[in-house]
Amino acid sequence: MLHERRRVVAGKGDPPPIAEIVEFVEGVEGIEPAVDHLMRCCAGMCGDPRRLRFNLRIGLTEAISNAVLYGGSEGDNRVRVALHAVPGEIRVRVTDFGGGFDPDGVPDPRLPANITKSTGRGIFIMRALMDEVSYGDEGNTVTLVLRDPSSAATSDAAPSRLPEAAMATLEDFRATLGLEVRAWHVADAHRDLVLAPLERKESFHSSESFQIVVADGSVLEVEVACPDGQGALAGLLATTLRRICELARVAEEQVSREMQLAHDLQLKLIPPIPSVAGVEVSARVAPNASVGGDFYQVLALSEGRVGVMIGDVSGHGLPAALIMAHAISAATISAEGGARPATVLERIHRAIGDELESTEMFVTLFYGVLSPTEPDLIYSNAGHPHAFLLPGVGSSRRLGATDPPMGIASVPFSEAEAPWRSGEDLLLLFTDGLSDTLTSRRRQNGEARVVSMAAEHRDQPTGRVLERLFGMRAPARSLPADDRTAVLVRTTPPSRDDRSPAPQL
Amino acid sequence: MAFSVRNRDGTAVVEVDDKLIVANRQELKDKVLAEVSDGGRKFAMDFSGTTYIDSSGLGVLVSLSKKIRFEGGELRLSGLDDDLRSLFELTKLDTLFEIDDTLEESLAAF
Repeated sequence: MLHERRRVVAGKGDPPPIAEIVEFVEGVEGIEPAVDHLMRCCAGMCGDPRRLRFNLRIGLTEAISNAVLYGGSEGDNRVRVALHAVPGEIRVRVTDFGGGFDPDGVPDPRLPANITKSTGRGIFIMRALMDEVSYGDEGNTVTLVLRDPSSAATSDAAPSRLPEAAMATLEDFRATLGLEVRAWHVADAHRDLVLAPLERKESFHSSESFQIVVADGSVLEVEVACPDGQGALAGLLATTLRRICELARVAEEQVSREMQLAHDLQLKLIPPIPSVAGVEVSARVAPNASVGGDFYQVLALSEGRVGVMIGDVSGHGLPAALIMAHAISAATISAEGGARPATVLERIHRAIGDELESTEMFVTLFYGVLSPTEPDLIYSNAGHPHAFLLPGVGSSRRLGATDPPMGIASVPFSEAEAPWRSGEDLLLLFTDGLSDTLTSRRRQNGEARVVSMAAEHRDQPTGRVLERLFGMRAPARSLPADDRTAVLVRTTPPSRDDRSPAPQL
Repeated sequence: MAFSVRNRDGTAVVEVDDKLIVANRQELKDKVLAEVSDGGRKFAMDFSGTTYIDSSGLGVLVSLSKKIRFEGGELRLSGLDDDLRSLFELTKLDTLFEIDDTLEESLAAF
């Protein structure tokens, strides 16, 4: 029988244990219940279920049986089993209080001389099925290790969240009905504790475990211990949790369908970058799972000019994508023929102003016109925070807002000019999403990091600079990601030298 | 009850439920030896309901096989799933026992 059972909840450390269990086993009758319990605690810890079901189960049985049968002393026949699991590895130490033995003295049971013997296979089987079997110096402690070969690939997978309502229900059952409830997510080798256990009460003997599928398809395993005769409570908890998770899943599916639609729309709406002589442009929108309303647009205008726009709609989902669609089509029409930036913004505002007002959304929008031959960049900036001119020499210059964001106030739009040195300067536009993912408590200023990264590599092709910006590592605890968008523009002046190219040899 | 023994046309059919382990191996041994004392010589052991066998369970099978052979009888095993079969292969016990896929095959092979 199990004499004592103690569980320790995962503590801090690297990597944190996902299970830590100590059991004491006494007598052959105690072996199976102990193995069963340990196996339940290890459910889902290995990507290959056979390695648990077969390798671990038999390894555990052999180690504990050996200790129970052959270990022990006159005074103490108990066997101590300590299981310590971290992601990717289960480690079990079995200790008896006997005098130990010489593990190297065990003969190979497969040899013809031994094959018909009825004993002597346990240690051989253990060594064959576990990744590691080692004995302590005294010979009365054996340590078994089972590794999960798939864990290297999966250990980075983020555990899914349990719906809040389900979490509250678990707590309610625990607090008001006096159940001991332990729950964890099972994601391949990962077992992420979502609810810590209470100390097991002495009168709690019936124990049940069940699995429920959480909204994103991952599995939550719940172990419940109840007072004797109250086993039905575990069933009730299981039914309640399943209903809650089912409802959450339906709701989540609806949301994700809308997201997908908006996401596709966003990428399809942004027109391809036209090819303009002497103009080098690289741009990218990386929509987040919760799609926002980031967009950019590059327009080929008359007289070799190019119009560059970046926008960020305040909302998310389908409404934001619709505003964005309107803004892009209005920009395409109004910018044709090389209208001035302020005029373009006014026309866009005419197209989407009512929509913005009725939905209480707003847009930050930068639109600039430049060319490989002209000395100025003319722009209007309706509250877009991240627009910079990186000169070939000297420090970067912010192209600040000329107006409030569209939708905040209805005003005629203004214009500003900045000197543009064709062949030297780099125009850098980006959205909050790019800089916010780089912002943390420790590193406050994501914007400065983006600008200095671009400045550092400004001599490289714009495509390379773009890769650098999107490749910047976010700190571990960054803000949740929005869409990430960046546009880089450089121009090259036409050669002043009119001589024909060197004759071919 | 983890083991049942019934007679089918002169063959003792032993069905092993769930597990054959250190805690119940003696029960199997006693039942089969009782059958041997009563004159049973043909034994078909069916493991199709068995999830695992530990080393002491294997040990009992080895000693029963020796005893039955000593008395001039025959023991056949059947119904081993992939896990159990690999356990026999691992310990080379597949070379010691007559192993059939199904109980019916065992019964037909005597």
